[in-house]
Amino acid sequence: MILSPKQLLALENVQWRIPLQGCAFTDNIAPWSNHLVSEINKLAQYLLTNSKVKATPELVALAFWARKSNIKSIQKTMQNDHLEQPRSVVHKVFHIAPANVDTVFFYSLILSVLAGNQNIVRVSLRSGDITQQLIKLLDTYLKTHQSCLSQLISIVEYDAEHRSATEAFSQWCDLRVLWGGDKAIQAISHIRPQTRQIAFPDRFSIAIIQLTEVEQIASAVDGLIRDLLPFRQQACSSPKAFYWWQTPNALQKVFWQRFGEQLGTNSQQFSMSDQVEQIICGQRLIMQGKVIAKPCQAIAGMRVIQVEKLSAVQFELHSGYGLLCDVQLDTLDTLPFADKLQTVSQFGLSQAMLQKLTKYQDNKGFKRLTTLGQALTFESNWDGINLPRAFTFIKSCDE
Amino acid sequence: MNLDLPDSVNMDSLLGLPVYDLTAQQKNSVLFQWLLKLTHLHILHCPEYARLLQYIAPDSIPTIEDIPPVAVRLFKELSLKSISEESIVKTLYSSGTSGQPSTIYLDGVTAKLQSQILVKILQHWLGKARRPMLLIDSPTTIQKGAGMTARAAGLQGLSFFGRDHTYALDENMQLNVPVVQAFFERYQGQSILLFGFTFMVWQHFIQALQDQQVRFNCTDAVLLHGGGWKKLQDKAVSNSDFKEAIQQQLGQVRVQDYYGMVEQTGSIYMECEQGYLHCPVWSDVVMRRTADLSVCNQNEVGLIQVNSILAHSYPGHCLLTEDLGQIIGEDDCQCGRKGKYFQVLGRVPSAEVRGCSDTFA
Repeated sequence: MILSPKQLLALENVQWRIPLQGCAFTDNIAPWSNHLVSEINKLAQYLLTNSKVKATPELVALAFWARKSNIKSIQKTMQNDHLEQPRSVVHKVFHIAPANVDTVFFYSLILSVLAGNQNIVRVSLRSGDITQQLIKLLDTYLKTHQSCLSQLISIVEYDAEHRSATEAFSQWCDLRVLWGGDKAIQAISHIRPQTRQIAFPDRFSIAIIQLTEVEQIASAVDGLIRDLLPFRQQACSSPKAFYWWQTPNALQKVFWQRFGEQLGTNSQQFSMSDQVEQIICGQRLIMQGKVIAKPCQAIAGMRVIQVEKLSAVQFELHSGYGLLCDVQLDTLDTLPFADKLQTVSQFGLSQAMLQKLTKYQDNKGFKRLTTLGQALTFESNWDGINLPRAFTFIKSCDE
Repeated sequence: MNLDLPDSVNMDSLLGLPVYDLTAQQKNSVLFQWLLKLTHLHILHCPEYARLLQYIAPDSIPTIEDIPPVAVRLFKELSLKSISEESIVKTLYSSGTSGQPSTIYLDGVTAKLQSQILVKILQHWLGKARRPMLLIDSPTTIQKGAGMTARAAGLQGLSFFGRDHTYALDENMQLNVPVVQAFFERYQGQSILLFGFTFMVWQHFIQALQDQQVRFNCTDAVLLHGGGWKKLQDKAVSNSDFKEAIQQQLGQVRVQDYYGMVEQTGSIYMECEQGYLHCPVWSDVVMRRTADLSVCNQNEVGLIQVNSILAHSYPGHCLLTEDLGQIIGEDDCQCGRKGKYFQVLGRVPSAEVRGCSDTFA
């Protein structure tokens, strides 16, 4: 039996951070309508002018992403589809957000709102500060602004062990979106298994760099820092290993020196507990993963560990938190191509090399090729799933 | 260098060392020799440990601080041992509240050493006479299952120092008032020993005595407790609050904390009259900076590394904990004991939280 919003709101041991509302109207929530795009843009503008947002790069990035110009460019990728037709029914989407990447639920939520769906987002009790901040900002915005968004957005917090809540929300929804570890996905998939579902399991990512002159170093350093620091290197698109391609040792040395200098002055830093995790993770890779590695090098609160090579299985032991494996690459064949390899971010590679890499991508060696510094930029086509389409055409979407 | 297991002659001379009398220099030469020996031993017999030291030549390690410490967490994730399955005589588990417990494998040599050293340390503080003993726990704690949890191991290990072992809590962890009352009446005026894990003593004993307004008038009692302050810190209970509350309910009680962990059972760090934890001759602490593992200055807060020469059956002679502490001084504590003395300041913020008890066996 599907519970009514009133019954869902009354569920025990569930804390509604932004309560679910009845969603009666359908007229002005045609998928991707100008009205919806403009409502999201207003929210983006609100976030961009907030001082707390300005101090948090992860929040700036998502607010920037939600601006009208960017949303319109996402919409363009769906041009051939029949959009902006009012719906006779409002579809319902239940998002289960991960604890490791604080802001990913926002992207998933907004794309679903743009598709004209009503949403419940479940956040973990273990969620980080940025998640909490973002929820407060959304709540304040919705309370102080007249917007149809308040009927489409709701956020709930409860313990992962609370199966009956997950079951009730799964029954309520037309589509369930799972962001999370393999184990969490497996556990949730067993709850009301007939629920239509999109899942984003564990992935790992790497970076490949080639330097030929000192002038390149500044932007390469900048790019790596941008891909490493946010979310404490917990995002699956954050590189865990850094591969050098035909780069003289002298340049590598200068690179790490500049990297340390810039990291040291950055407003975001790896914390003491992150550093403890780095030590543990380095030892785990060597002791359990049998990685051939030199002792860690401490660089401005993070650690770089020189390893001979890494297999996809060994990456599973790498939990991030500011530990980067440094590998000299002799041939592309030794890269850890696997279903679990998500993003390859590159810097300075020749056209010929890029073409070779693309061939590996075409052969399903990895999911996404991007420029160093762009690894964490959310793309609406994520992990091979076109989210705007998946949210817009729920009945026809294939899992 | 002799790579054989320590022979019994060696061990006897080791056991004969005075607990808190060696100066830094004397102690360092004994410790360094033994820790290096153990490093060699574990490289030979524990493949995971050998991998960790793959770029280090053990013969050219210049000082104790250059022996790489193994992160304690790895004992939760891996089965680390330097002995064959057949040589295992005892397996210890930490009583972590979250995730996997640590698993520590003991052979006869290590198990014996642990209990002998524990006896040496505790006799220094308690004397040789066995006192009537009140255990602040439930008798069911040591009966549960086959595995030896740290709490059960602690209760069992400590029982050696007492007689007429009386459990203060019933099987539901409720204060057993008639039993406790009878115990204090029977031994009125005599020396008694109380033992429990810090959180258990507070939550299930002192608070229950307060709630039920039960008081006793001890004249010569020692309360030994350990296992960590994390849960009490959350409730804003300090060491002095703790001591005061105990004395209010029980009278003349010498309250002594200790620091120790199941990964280095036996070589515990006892709190002295000045309120500092003391390193016995068989073990030592090093505080390290988390950023690069360099050694902290005196009074600087760092990650606690514990070294112990008792870990023969598993590579736990140099361990990096997830606790923070600071060295207050060495060889010059007001209490008169030699060795480093230090304070524990709790766990690294947001590191995995452990249970309320770990140590003795």
